[in-house]
Amino acid sequence: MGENICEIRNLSKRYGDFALERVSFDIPRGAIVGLIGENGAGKSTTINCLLGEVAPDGGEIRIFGRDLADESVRDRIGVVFDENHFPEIFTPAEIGRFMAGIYSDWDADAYRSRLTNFGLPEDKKTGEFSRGMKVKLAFAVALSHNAEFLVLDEATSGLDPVVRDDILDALLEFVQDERHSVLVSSHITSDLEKIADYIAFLHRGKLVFCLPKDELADEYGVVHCGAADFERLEPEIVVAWRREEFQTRALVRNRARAAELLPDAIVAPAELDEIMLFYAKGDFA
Amino acid sequence: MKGLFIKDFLTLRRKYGPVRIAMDVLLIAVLMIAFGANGAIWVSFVLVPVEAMTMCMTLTNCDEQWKWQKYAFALPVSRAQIVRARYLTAGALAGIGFAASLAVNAAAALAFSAYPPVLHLLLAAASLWLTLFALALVLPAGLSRGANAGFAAMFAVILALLVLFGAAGFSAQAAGSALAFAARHVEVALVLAICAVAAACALSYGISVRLLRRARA
Repeated sequence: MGENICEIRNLSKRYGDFALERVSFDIPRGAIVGLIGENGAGKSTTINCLLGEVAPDGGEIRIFGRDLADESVRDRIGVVFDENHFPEIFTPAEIGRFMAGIYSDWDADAYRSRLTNFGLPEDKKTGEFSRGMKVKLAFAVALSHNAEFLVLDEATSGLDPVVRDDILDALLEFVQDERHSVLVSSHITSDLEKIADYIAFLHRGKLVFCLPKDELADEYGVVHCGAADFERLEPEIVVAWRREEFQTRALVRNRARAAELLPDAIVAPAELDEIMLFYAKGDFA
Repeated sequence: MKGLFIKDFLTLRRKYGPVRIAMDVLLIAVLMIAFGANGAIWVSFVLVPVEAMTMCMTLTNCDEQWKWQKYAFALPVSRAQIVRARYLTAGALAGIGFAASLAVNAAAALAFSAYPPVLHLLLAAASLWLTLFALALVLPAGLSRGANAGFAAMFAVILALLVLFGAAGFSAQAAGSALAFAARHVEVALVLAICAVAAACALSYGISVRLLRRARA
């Protein structure tokens, strides 16, 4: 069994004045990779290329060691989008009926069990479901055909904390055996900080980094200091900065070094939100 | 692909329940009462093709409403299989329409005896031919460009049907001659009809697959 469930190399896609440029990262087996970036950064484009929704202009994507053109690859991928795509005139039981004819390894018992665990009635039209129930239904489907790879595109946006917690628990259970992987695109960085093993950050169509979350938490930091102190920071550790009225805040990639250089400054761990904000609104050398 | 076919029929079952079937039966009864044996012609050449096209466009409309196509592209089915499933559904609808047309023509033959029974059989066969031809024209637009394009194509076909029907009505002699030729040379007429509709369906299928694949770019 390969080390990576998905390998993306130099993925490129152009839409008018937006371009996804040479994005490369891997999704290891047994890992949850969080894909973050501001609106329009290219997260959905990356996922659409990965799922075969759109044809990339360049690059290569291999899932389970195979090319996307092989439909059997998608047989082992579970997908949850931000919107409900199931016909709202159907009940979950009817959805299970036609899904059984689409996925070769559909597990009807597992599907019914998931519906029960998620508290979803089998014989109620999905048009009468709340948003949270529709997302849970999509998860029930995605987890009921022995998928090895889950791809979630903003699947938890707009959900209340209770439902999100249920879903996060389901994702953690999914990767427990170290054979399954998840790619989660989300703006809710607090969720990713809870469950992700790796964070891939896209900014204006380019991959800024794909790092283990623990490394980000250990290495990246935000320095709060005066303008004079800021000048004492080594340029190679400064990623970006923001000059404010009474202080300068800098995102650094070596928090320990920054603390050595500025022992009197506040050097705090950087949260994912802050990292994104610095890249989106900060100043660069 | 089997799952997509099941989905289409579950959709139609939900959308076209007993009320709609009752309406169609009532409409057939009204046409038969109003036009006698000629009511079977209206059913065969207008009602059956229009209903089949409407049902296919309902499926396209529903897919668009739920943005199903985006999800379908992520499923383990190819673009060709997506198209094939829809064409199978359309073929099944044409088959159901043919059975309905056969039943109506049989009833007309028994009730009115205005035309020889073989002519009613030919009417039912012609109804199937026309339905398949109409679907072949309408499906590529709906599958690749959405419900609006599909409905536009459908209305164009309905208009063409009405013009043809009207022209046949005005020139009853020409229409009668064509039917008489078909009745005299049944084998030739059948072969020509089968070849024409097979070619139209094959071309239509090829265009649909090509357009849906291009939608990926």
